[in-house]
Amino acid sequence: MISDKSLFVFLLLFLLFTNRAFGQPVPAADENIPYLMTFGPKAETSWGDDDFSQTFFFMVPESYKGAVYIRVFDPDVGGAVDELNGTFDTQMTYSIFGGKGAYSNPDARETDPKGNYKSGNMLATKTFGVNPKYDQNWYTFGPFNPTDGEYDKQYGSYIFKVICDGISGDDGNMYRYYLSTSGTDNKSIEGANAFAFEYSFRMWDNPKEVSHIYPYVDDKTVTVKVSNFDWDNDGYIRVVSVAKNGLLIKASGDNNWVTDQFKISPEEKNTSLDFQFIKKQNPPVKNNNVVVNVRNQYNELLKFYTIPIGGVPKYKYVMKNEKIKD
Amino acid sequence: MRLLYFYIIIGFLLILNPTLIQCQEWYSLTSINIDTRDYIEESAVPYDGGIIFISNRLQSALRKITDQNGNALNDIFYSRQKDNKKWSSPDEFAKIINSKADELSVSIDKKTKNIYFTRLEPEGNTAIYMSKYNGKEWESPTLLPFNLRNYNFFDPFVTDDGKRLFFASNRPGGQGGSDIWVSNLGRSGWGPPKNLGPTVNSDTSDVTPFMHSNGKLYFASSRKGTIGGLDIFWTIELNGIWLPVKHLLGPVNTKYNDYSYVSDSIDRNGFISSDRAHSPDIFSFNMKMPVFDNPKPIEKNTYKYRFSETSVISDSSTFIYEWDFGDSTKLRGRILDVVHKFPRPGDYMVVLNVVDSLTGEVNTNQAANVVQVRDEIQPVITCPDSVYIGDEVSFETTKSYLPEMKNPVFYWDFGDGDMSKGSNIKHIYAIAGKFRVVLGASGFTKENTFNDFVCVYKYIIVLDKKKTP
Repeated sequence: MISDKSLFVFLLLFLLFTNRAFGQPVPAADENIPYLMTFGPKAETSWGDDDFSQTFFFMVPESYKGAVYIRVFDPDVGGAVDELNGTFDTQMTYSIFGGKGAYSNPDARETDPKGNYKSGNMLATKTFGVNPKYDQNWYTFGPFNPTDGEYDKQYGSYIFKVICDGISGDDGNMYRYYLSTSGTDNKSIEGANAFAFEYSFRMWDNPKEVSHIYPYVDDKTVTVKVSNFDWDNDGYIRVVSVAKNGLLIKASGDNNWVTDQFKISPEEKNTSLDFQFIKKQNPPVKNNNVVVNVRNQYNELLKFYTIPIGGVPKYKYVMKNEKIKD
Repeated sequence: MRLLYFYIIIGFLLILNPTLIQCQEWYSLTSINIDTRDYIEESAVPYDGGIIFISNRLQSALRKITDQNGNALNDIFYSRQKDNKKWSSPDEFAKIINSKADELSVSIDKKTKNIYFTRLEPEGNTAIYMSKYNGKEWESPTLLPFNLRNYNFFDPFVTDDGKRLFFASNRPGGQGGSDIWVSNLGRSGWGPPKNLGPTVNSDTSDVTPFMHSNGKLYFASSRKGTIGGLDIFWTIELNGIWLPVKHLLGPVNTKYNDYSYVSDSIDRNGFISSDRAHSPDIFSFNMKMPVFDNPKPIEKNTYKYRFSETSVISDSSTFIYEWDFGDSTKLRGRILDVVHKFPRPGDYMVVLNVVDSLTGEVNTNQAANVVQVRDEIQPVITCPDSVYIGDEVSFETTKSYLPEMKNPVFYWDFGDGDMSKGSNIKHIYAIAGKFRVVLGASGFTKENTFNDFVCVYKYIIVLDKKKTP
């Protein structure tokens, strides 16, 4: 019997071997998501954010002993990247948490910013409004000792929690993260990864761009329930996996949640799913934001790893042939 | 030096058993251990786990049966086959039958055990007698009613059902020399003999008939076309017509006298008599031709295949599938189960391309298989579907596809009783009808293990020109 830790370490090693786990940009390259998205609390949810808060977790393997930095691209709310609603009057607070409970506290692993979701030790925090200095520029939290994170025995990693909360205003904050070994540059940590239990992100305006997120299916998952918010009927959400060549699931309209459910086949266990967000070709919808979460049959949330565990899942077509009579 | 030893050994073996080297091809022949150098052993007939046969051998070391002139008399003997396949020392068979005259050939009714045999009469001619078996012993022989004075009646053979008696005779009404005749058993006994006609009989000696239950009549003849002396021939009666006689295949016939063919129920093992080794001896034979077991009709080559992608469980119709069959044909659609017919045998790379109808992206080579399109693995008979009587018909094997067989050997059964061996054979049908031609092939694999004998059949219609409009 393979333990979860062994399996996870194996999959991480597989990623290392295939040169796929050398960066912790969030969103990651394979996701093809332009920005994470969090709105100010005064914004209408119809703009795409259901709760004005986003939590991400960064995993640093215990084998890494150097300093770590968590960098935020375009942390302010203003300028060209962010979504203006009237005038820019929004403030965002980024907080870094480590220590006991940062990840393990159940409130930290839910979709909504409720209860003790800011569990653990706050290692750093900073609030941004309009700040040209950081418009389309990087702000760096750290250095942190990896052991400042909460150790998770199952994954053999120290876990840092990063919460972006909309404090005031109604504008949309578009941003990215990078877990780095450098305070001035984006330098990857081998074997590190990042994940979220709910993903709030901006879609590309270009309808030909397809974004992906990759929930990881563990071996106890039998069915999954996918919820998505404010997809604006902007196209299709398609699930691809090692066993599914393309399952269309229900996509939400404007300002509403839609839930769909499907079964997990045995070969999909311990693999990632590929949720493809395919925009309609005509007419293109601009500035579309969406929120997604996935739960299993126990109502537990599945993690979205930015670097999909086991690699980007590809459906493998199997052609069979047989000779037949006239 | 080794080569010299080899030749010496081979020469020695040939002296010991001259038939050893001859026993090739269709039959293997073996001299049996009751054969002697100077005495006659001939006309073997299987009986009760052994054989009864004719011999002029000594009855025992102290007893020699001779005629008035001191010549050793022919009598009927019996020898049992022992567990080690050797034959027991022969004993005199049924003293009541053996007389102070020559008993020359014998046949036994399998059902009644009544014995029919030839005896040399005091007048110098031969006659056929019958000794009835009463359940305990054989009774005194009686002369069969169709014997004629001054003519020879000999070599009786009674069929398995006991209702027909074939024999040889030089009685009037024949084709010359001695002919094969047949008498049918009626309510009042054996009926008048009927000559088998000019197809079977020649103007020379036609003797030692043996009618197998498969319909084949074997007999010996000194007619034109023999290798020498008497040779064994066979024919078969189809639709009341005797087919032209055939010389028995293989090493059975030699330049010496070869005669008295008898065989088992499958007509593959039996005995012949031959004087090839000084005096007449009995040889056991085994047919080496493979058995045509469960032949199948020839499969038609179709080159038709079904391709499927059976693992797809979630296609929401967002994909269009393009099947590229590698023979310049493509098929597009929302279909993952297609049938395609290739034009000819060959290796074809079949590729499945997937077009994403949502993004327009074309994903090539999502699956690929090299399909080896081949003919059906089987021997194939190539011959006309219908021919006329007397036509020389070519039977060919060139369309056979037997990739696992190294240098296959082909065997033919033409359905009219005739068989042959070879890739391309000529055959003539003598009568009209529908005949099942069977072709079998055997050979070794590339790994030198023996392949099973595989055989197929095809029907051929033989027409009579005279009756065809």
